[in-house]
Amino acid sequence: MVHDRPDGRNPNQLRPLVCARGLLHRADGSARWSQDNTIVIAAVYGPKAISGRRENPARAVLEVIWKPKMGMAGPSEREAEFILKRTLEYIVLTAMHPNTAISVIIQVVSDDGGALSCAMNAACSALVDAGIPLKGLIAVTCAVDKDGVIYLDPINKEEKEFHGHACLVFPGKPMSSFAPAGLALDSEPIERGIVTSVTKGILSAEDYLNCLERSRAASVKIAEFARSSLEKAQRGVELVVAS
Amino acid sequence: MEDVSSRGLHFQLSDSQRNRLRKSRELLREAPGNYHPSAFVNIADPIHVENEATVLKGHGTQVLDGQLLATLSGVVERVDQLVTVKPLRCRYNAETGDVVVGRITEVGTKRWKVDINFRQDVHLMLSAVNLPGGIQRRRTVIDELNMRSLFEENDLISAEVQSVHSDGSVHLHTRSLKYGKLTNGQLVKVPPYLVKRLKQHFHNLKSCAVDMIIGCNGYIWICAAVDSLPSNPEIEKITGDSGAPEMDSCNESISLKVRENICRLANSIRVLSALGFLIYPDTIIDTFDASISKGVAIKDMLGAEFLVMIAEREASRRTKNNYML
Repeated sequence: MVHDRPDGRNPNQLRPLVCARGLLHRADGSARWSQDNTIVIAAVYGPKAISGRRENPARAVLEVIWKPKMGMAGPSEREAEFILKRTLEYIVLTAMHPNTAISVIIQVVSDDGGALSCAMNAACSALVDAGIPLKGLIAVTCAVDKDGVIYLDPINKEEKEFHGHACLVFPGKPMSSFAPAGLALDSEPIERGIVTSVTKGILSAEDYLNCLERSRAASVKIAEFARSSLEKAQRGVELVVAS
Repeated sequence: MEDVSSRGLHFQLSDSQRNRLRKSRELLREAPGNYHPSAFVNIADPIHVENEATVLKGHGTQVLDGQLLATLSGVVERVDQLVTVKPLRCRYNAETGDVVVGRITEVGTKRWKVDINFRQDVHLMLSAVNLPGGIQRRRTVIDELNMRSLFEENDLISAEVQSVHSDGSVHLHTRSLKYGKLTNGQLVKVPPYLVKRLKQHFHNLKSCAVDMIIGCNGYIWICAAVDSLPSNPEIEKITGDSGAPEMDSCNESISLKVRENICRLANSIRVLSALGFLIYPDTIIDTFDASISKGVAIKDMLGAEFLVMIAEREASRRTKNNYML
């Protein structure tokens, strides 16, 4: 039985995406990613000098700071920082810049569900904007599950009511099609792999795999959107004009 | 022309000015000498090469499963067998032999730490500067204790990159009379990718009595020309000072005309960086002359009208002379 969603979308529909790059002047790279009412700004500083015990002579150190919209940062923010750090370490080529630090700062402007996935998309765009070498791009979606039906890109109301919640990070597909065999890691093509999966609540194994399939399809759309927005940013008029 | 955003400068454009700017930008995009659209790549895009085995993989590329992928988003540059991806925006990348302008941030044991808009603070070793007195000798403990008399915190210096080490640290040196502490002028910061590496980074503009140092790191120093100052160059011969002529930090008083020239030049550089044009002496002097011939006041140079005018000038110049390129 399929419930009606509060905002009238069907279960497989994502919210409209908007991405703006280069909004912060002092940061090396910045991006604002909005999915309707969930807006997150990511700023990247680096690679920059790091001092003392924290420096690693073999690779760059990635640090993430999550600033919630209201109140002080607490344990849930620390958890989000940790998840982001591990995900971004997968895509950033940290061995290119030893003895430096790359700081990613996430500011939640408004949260209407799916802030973690929004933040990860924003962080990836900001890293590209800063000119930091990356292995590839990521596309993040989340989904909730109720009575076996999967709803993609939930808003706050849905997240509170539903039983299971999953946030999934996939590698963005490369533009050209590789040979049908594709890149393979233990016979599973890399484009179809998962980078990170964060789940909350109760999900049966079947529902989780269902979730995976739907989210993977949605992530392709998100990756395409990110790529086209990047191409537009490369060639568009970019004077900061106050109208 | 590279498409870059001007960070930090806001312009209020009226609708007609916006249209004119858009038209100029389109002309510039079509003009020869610009990048072909196929040269732009995004991260994880494949780069087409004939033979992957013989190609030298430069910065911004990686090999995955026999395919050459880009790790940065930018333009592909091919020089013979070398393929690199140049990102559209990034921090300054130090290379040996670059002339840079930097600010001392720290005085440490036997070295100074200098900020040159690089990823890390770079070092200027005590053994890499010219000591007052000019003779070559070993640096003693007295020299270490007197480091502050040479350069202090927040001093501006010009130096050359001596070496870039494998762990990313960079060492500078000022082992020439033309490098050293900078006084009597103004610093303009532009994005480092707008400054090309040229044979000469020290420019003397005799008609304006102004000296210009275009640092490869995007810091540009404009100051009153040394010979226009009232100080006496004989004095340094008498005392045997072989460092820069003014080693003390007090600035000389400069005439109003020279000060105006300095400000006008600094504003021309700011306008060029806002439009994303490459910065080198010819373009700076051209913009400077245009502002004088059109009678633009110095404070109006950072306004929208002058900006649009410079863009139109460049667009018309490139499309008119395309057969001469």
